Amino acid sequence: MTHAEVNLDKGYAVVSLQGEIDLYSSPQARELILGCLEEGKPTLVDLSAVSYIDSSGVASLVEGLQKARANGLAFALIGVSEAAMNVLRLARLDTVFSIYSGIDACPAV
Amino acid sequence: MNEATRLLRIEFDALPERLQLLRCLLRDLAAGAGFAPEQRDAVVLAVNEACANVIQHAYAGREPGPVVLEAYALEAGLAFELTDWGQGVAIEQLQPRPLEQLRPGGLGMHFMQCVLDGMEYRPSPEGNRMCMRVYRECGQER
Repeated sequence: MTHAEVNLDKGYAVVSLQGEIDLYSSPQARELILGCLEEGKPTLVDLSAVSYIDSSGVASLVEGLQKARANGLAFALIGVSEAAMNVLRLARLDTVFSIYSGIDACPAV
Repeated sequence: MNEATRLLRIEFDALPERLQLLRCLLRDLAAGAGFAPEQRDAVVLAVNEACANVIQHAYAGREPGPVVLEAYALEAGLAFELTDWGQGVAIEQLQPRPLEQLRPGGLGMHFMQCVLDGMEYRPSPEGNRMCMRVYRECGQER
């Protein structure tokens, strides 16, 4: 993963991931996502700049979704790149996650 | 794999940071073998998952050991052989899990099964070998 950051926008914590999310980089993504949820923040994961994601990266997203559901927090993916969407489809998770084109399309919190 | 032309042989340590370079090589290899972009990306994902499994499990609890990835040209696609000298796994552990269960792990085998046209695992004290084959989808000519 070349870069990852968290910003606050419209009441959400927005975790922006960039580059390739694999077995090497997914622990950082997981830490950022779960960290936001542990702080009780509704969380969005921006995948618009993700050029590759493997099963370990998808597992980090699933873990985030599970934690959000357990804590009654909003959790969604935004701006999902074509590369990431192809992998989510292969995992049949494209209908499990809430997916929005961008933060402006997300429900207000 | 005597009858096929070997295109690649790379030996690497079982470390997650090696995966990015492997994927670069695999992308070029699949493109050169005539795979269209979407299937090329899927092939890269599947072989990456096989390598990641070895990195995660074969040398678990000990120093990362060597892994060898070989790729061969087939008339209609590519074949891969992935060899490690760590602890082999039982065949039943290589079955993909039902996707109805929403849980974080176990997707790698599912990806491999979806993308590959054949895979065979042969654990052995002389080296555990995962053999994989994938053919170009119809309409893709080399």
